[in-house]
Amino acid sequence: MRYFTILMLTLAACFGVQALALRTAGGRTAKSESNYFSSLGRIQAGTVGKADVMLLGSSITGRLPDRSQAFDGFANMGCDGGSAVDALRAMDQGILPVAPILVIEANTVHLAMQRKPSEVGAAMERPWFQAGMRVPAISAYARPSAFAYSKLLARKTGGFGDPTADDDLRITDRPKRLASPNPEPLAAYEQALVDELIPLLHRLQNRGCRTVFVLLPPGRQPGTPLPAWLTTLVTESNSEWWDLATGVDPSLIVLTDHVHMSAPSAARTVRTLKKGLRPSL
Amino acid sequence: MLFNSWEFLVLLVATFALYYAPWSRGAHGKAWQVTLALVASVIFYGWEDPKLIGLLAVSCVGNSLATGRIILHKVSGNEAKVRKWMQLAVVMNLALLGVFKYLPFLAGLIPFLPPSWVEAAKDIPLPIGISFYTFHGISMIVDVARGEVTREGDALMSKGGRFAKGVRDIGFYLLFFPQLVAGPIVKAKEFWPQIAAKRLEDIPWHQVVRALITGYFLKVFVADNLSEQTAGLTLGPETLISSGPLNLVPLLYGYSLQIFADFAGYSLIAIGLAAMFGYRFPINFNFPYLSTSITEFWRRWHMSLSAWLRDYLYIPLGGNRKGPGRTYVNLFLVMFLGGLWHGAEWKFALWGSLHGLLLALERLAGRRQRTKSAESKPKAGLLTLLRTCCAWFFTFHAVTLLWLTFLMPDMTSIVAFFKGVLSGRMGFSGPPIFSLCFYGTAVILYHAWGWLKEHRELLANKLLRSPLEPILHGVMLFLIFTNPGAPRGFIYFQF
Repeated sequence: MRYFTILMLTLAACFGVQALALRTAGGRTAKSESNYFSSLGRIQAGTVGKADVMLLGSSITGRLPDRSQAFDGFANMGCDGGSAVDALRAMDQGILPVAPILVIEANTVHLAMQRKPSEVGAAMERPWFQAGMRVPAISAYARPSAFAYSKLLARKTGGFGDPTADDDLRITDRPKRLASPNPEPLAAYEQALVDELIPLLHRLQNRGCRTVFVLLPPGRQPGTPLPAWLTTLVTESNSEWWDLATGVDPSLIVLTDHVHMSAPSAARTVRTLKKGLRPSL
Repeated sequence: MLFNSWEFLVLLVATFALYYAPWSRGAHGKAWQVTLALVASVIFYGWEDPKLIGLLAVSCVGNSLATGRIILHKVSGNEAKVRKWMQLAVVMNLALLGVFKYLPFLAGLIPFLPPSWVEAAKDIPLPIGISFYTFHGISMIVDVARGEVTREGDALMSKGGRFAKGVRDIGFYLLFFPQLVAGPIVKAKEFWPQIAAKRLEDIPWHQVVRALITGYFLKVFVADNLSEQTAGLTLGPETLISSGPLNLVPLLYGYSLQIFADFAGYSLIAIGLAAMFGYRFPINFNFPYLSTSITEFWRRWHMSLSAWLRDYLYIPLGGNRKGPGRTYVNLFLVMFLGGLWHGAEWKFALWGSLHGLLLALERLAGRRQRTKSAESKPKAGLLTLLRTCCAWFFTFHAVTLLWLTFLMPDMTSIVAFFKGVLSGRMGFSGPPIFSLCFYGTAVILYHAWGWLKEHRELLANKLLRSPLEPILHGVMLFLIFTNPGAPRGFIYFQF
C-alpha cells in the first residue's frame, strides 16, 4: 500500500512539473531530438485553441516562430523531412481542425510525389496522436526530452526577438493570383498529386479557408522557373501565391545549413507573413 | 502482436479477466485457464499473419504428441521407443527450422541449383519466433528422453488419466504467449510443475509491477527512442563513408545500449506477464554490461539461450572433458552455430565465430593465468582494480563492436562504417549525442544498480526498503507515458 501511495504521488508530482514547464515554455516545446516527434508535436500543438494562420510545410517551416514565441495568431505545423501535404490530407479527413488562413510551404510540396508511406501521416490516424491533441501531458510537444533538447538548441540558435519589431524581409510583393499557365503535359506522378490536391483544396476553401502557397527562403535556384505542375496546382485550386525568397535582400536571410533559416531570419519571415496576410487577419 | 501495442493491451485485459473469472475456482479451473491461455496465445501469435498459425500448430502438436509418447514409454521403461520418438521429434524440429530459416541461405550457396529454385527458396517466409519455439521443443523432447522430467511428465500425463489433457498442457507450455516469440527459453522441469489452477490472490503484484515497469521503460523509453537515431547507421555504405567518427561512434554505443534495452526489456515484460498468470520465468539478463570477460558476458546475456547451447550442444560435443584443444574447438563451434541460430546470414556466422574465438582465447589465457597464480598469489588493491577496469573496458567494447554485425545489413556496410570512422571528418550533429546521453543514462544507471546489488548488498537491500524504489518507478512510469519512442517491433522477433 505504501509502495503504491508513493508511486502515485511521484507520478502526480511529475505531471505537475511537466505542466509548469509547459506553461513556462509558452505552451509547447520548440524541438525534440526526434524529427518524428518534433513534427507530431508541432501539429498537435497547432490544434490547441484557435489559430488565425496555420503554417504547413517541412522543417523549413518548422523553424518559424509561432504563438508559443509570442507571434500571436500563428500555429507552426511544419513536418521535419515531410511536406504540407500530410497535414492537408489530415485536415481534409477531419482529423485536424483548420484555420482561416492556411500557409502552404511551396518549397517541399514535391516531396509528396515520392509516394513513400509517410510515418507522420500514418501516426495522425492513431488513437494516441489524437489523445495527445486533447491531453497536453501525453502530447509529443510536452516530452521531457524535448524540454531538454529545446533548451540546448535555444542556447545555440538564440531567440526570435520582439514579435512586434519593425524588422521584416522588406518586400513589397503580396499574395496574388497567378496567371493560368500554358497547357503543358505533366508527368504522371505530377498529375496524380495535382489531381489529388486540387479538389482537396477546394473542399478546404468551402470550409472557409484561404489557401496561400508561399515560397520560403532559400527558395529556388536563381533563374529556375516555377514548375508547371506547381503553377497548375496554385491556379486551378484558386489559391494565392507569394514568393518570399526571390529578390529579398540576402543580408536579411541567414541560413544555418544552406536550407534552414536562423532565428532572426525566421522571425523576419513571420513578421512579413503577418503584414502580407493582414487583410484577412 | 507486440507487447507495446493497443491490441495486446485489449487481449491482455480480456484474457486476464476471463482467466480469473469466478468459475476458474471450480473443479475445472485448471482446464479453463490452460485452454484460455492457449487460445490467447494463438491469437497473440497469429494476429499479424494468421497463416503462421498452421506452422506453429504443426510444431506444437508434433512436439506435444511426441512428448506424451516419450513419457509413456519412459514410465514403462521402453528405452528403444523413447529413442525412436526422440529422434523423430528432433528431426521434425530441425526440418521445420531448416526449411523455413536456412533453406533460402543454403540454396544460395549451392552453385548448380537452377536460379528459379533459388528464387523459390528465397520466397519462403521466415515465421516469427521460429528459432525460439523449435529450440523450446527440442529442449523439452531431449529433457523428457533423458529422464530429467519423468516424474513431472508422468504427473502431467496421469492427471485425470487422459492422454489428451497431458498433450494440451504440454502444448500450453510450448505456446504460452509471454515467452512464445522471443523467450526466455523456459525448461520443462521448471514449468511443468507450475501447471495448476491459479488464484488471483496468489499473484505477486510487487514483482509483476517491478518487472513490467522496468521492462516497458527499457523498451518504450530507452530502446525505441534510441532506435530512431541508430537507424542512421543503416542508411547505406555511401552515407557511412561520408560521415565522421563523431557521428558514427556515438551511434554504435547507442545501438549497444538499445539492443540491451530492447531484449532485456522484452524479457522483463515476459517475466511480469507470466507472473500475472501465476507462472515464474527465470531471469534472462543479469546486468551483462558489468561483465569483465566474454565468458562472463555469456553468463549474463540471454542466459536461457546460453544455457540451451551449453546443455544441448557444448556438453554433448564433449564440453571441456576431452582436453584443452577440443574445448577451444567446441567453444568456437557452439558460438558459430549460436551465431547462425540468430539468422541464416554470413554476418551472424561472423558474429558467432568472433565471440567463439574470444571465448577460446580467454580460456587459453585463463589456463596460463591459473598456472602462474599457483606460484604467486595475486595482489589485491589498486592494481587489481585497474586490471578489472581494463577487463571491463575491453569486454564492453569488444561486445559493442561485434553488435555492428547485428545492425548492418551487409559486410559492405560494416567496412563502410570503419572507413567513416577513420575518415578524420570532425563535423557532428547533435541529436545522436543528445539521445545517447539522455536515454543511455538510464541503461548506465540500471547497471549501476546491478553493481550495487552484487557488491554492496546491504546498501542495495536498504535502498529497496526505502521509498526510492516507488519514486523511481513513478518517474519511469511517467516517462513511459510521456516520452515513448515511435512504436517498433522487438529486435529479437526477427530470430
